Amino acid sequence: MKINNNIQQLKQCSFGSLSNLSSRAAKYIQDVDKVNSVGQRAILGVTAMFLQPMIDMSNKDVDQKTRESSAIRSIARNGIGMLTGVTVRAATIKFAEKFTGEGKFLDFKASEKSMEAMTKQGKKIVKSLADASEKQIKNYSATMGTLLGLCVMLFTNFLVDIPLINASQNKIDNLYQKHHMKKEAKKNEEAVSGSSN
Amino acid sequence: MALQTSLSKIFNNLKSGVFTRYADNTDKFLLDTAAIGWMLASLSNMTGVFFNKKVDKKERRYLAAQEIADGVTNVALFYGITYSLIKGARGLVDKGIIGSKALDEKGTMMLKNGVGTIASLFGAVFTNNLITPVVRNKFATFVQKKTGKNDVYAQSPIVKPSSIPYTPIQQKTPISIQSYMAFTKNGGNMRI
Repeated sequence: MKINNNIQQLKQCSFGSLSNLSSRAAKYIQDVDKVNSVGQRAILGVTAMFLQPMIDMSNKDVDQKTRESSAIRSIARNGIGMLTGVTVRAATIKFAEKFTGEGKFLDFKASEKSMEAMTKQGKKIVKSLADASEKQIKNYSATMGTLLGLCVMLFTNFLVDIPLINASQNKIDNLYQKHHMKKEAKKNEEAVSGSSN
Repeated sequence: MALQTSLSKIFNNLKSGVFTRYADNTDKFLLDTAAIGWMLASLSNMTGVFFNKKVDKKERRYLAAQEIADGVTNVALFYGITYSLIKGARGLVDKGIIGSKALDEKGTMMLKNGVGTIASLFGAVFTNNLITPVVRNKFATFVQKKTGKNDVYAQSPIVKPSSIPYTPIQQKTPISIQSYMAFTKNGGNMRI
């Protein structure tokens, strides 16, 4: 009975016929636009942490040691970059939200050019945030917050990312060298004991 | 007073423009802010080169030019590919290849935005995480072969500036391995 229900649910959200999606599938796609720049940076960072080391490891033009070292560094660089990017964006978007609303600092009086553009696109004319929908206000504050975040990251790039990346790369380098030396020593020991036998 | 008024007008127009362009278009917002992020990252990397005392003064020009070329290549690749994907995905909804009979006009607009956002995310992952690292590795390998030092590959995340050829002066005075390493150690190719 439960299995039948699950199959029924799967059929309801089927993407099989793209020209006539079920209302549930369409809703899923419509909701993707809830992803803001924080989500985008997180997706980019996580995929980079998996894909870039794979690319580094598959580069046959260099030796194994270089490949491994490069892959480890890609993980460190992308991990730290993602953490800073996501944190700063989330903070500045939250900050922008506080100043977005009717009569607040980020409210505006629509310029003639903007009103012309809205008319041309066949959209409802929004003269100020008082006329905007909740979703539009959310998207607007996310954009303003992201733009502010990008300015903030010009500084955090130097003050946080680079020192952290350099420190972690050095740490990883040391650990890797130790691991590599141990491996080599073990190999040599085995070779010596093999030849004495 | 006049300056304050004109600054306030500029800021108001900026806010109004941002609202008109992005309030209903998440895909465009993600595309544009990511491209701005790339540009700012290149700018900060370039500034880093100018103030990096570990790099020889003569070689800073070469590295800064390379950084500009890197930024231009990355932004052009990212914007070109992702914009085409968004346009193509939105076109699929316009042509009815993707759609739903259950949706009214507003719902279809939202579907279009959703499909565009998926294309925008896919484009960002595809260009940032697949194309750029492959190009970067090719260039790093090229540098490694030129210098004969294996470690260069591991520490060189700079993309070959394919769109901007090196000038004869730069070819005559190739960068020293020490300067190259010192520069790359300071986080070149950072992403904001």
